[in-house]
Amino acid sequence: MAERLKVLIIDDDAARRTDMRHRLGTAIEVQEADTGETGIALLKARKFDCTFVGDRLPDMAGTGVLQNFYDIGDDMMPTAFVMLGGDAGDTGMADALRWGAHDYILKEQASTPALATSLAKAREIFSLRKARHSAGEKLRHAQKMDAVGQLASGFGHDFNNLLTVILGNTRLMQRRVDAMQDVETRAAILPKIEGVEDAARRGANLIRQLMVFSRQSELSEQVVDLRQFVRAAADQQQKKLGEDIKVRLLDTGTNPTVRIDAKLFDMALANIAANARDAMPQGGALDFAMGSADYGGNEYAHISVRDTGRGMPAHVLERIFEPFFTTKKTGEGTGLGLAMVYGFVRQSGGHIEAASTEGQGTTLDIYLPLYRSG
Amino acid sequence: MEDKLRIMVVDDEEQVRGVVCENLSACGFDVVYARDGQEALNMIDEGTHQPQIVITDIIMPRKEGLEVIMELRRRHPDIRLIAISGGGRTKSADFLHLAKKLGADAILPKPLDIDMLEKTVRELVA
Ligand SMILES: Nc1ncnc2c1ncn2[C@@H]1O[C@H](COP(=O)(O)OP(=O)(O)OP(=O)(O)O)[C@@H](O)[C@H]1O
Ligand SMILES: [Mg+2]
Repeated sequence: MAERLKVLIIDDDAARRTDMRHRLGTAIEVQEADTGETGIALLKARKFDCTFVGDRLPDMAGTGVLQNFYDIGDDMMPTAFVMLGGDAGDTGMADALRWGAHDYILKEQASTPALATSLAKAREIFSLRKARHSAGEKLRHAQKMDAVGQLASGFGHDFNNLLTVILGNTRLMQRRVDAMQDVETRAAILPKIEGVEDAARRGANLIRQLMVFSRQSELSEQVVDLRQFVRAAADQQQKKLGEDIKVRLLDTGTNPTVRIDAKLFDMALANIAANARDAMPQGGALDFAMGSADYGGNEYAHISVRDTGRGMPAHVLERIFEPFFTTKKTGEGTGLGLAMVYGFVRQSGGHIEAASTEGQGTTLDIYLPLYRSG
Repeated sequence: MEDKLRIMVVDDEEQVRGVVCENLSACGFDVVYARDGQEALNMIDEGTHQPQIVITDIIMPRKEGLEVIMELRRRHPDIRLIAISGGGRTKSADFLHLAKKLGADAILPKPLDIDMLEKTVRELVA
């Protein structure tokens, strides 16, 4: 059965709201708001298929509600809007259309069929604008991913040669300094060389993440016992994260085998754990769970990593796998951690999903193809 | 005293092969270099230098690393081969895997970890 349409009526005239509720009929789920503020709050909290807005509200003009959303773009409105106008001589209609209303109807003409027509028309225009928006977004996104891939393959080779030269020369310097008699000079120079080496390795890591994301990286796969692997990774993370974060290991009993690039898998789990650490500056828990699970009707090896950190809002969650998407300060995050995880999981034939509740925590679910010998 | 292990480094990037050679020399090996695959094969064929190990980059102008590997495998099966590559799967061909299939004894990614290279060299002749 199709879901009931959800409609919001924002108007301070209670009698009119009740009248409209009746006219819209029981097939439609109706909510009411008597001020602009309440209406906006409801629109931010819930999804409505259509909203009727009275032109004069106690706290703002009806167009104020529209304006509130119009600023993010007329193709990104949260709902279809129908403006309820006063008398016909009003300039209200022009204003309403200008602020992105999808239809306009006069209050005294709001008969049952007129409301139904208006509702249908507003929803149609709304969904057309929405479709245009998401098609544009998809295209932009695809182009961006493509560009990143080209960048990675074009740069990767040269960059790795440069880093070979830097790292090779620091190694030569280390040899020289190691052989020096003067202990003091040695102690003064070695940390500097290590600084260069460390920076070069971080550069190497960035390139590697980018190449894994754009699947330019070669996988060196081996058969791995998932329980052993995740246990080792969890132990390692516990050492890295310190005592304030409690790493726990949950086991569902099944013990799947997977065929993956172990180094990259380690890197992926480390990236996820690093994010969990950043999300829990006051400490918390990091749970690794493993077993097997269904994904899209097939059985997969399943690894779930959950933290009790600050979580993130929907508009961040939507973009976490995008390369260079970060909410962290420059120098603290590059936005490649989860892009790498995503590329690795996809190249390995798996899937990944993220869920998060602000203030409560984040869970990443990774599904990897089961390895079946023979 | 034992004879030094003879190694040939093949890379078209001057700085890369310079720093790799110098590090290997510092490890106590007898090192020569070739600037591309063709030069490497010529040197070996002319007998100017008979390496026990050839370390070759994979993507080079004038005779690619993969061809060097194939030809050396055929003509000098006793030479140990290490393939290195800055990565890049072009049109979904994994070069390092291909190198291994074609007979490289070991494969290493760039940026090259010098200590890892030394370890690999020693393991191959052990
Ligand atoms: N466990 C988490 N809790 C809350 N927010 C998270 C979590 N994991 C990721 N995020 C959000 O997703 C963004 C992208 O994460 P990602 O790991 O790709 O990049 P980064 O951590 O910002 O930088 P990098 O990993 O390159 O150092 C983060 O900036 C953060 O806003
Ligand atoms: Mg991160």
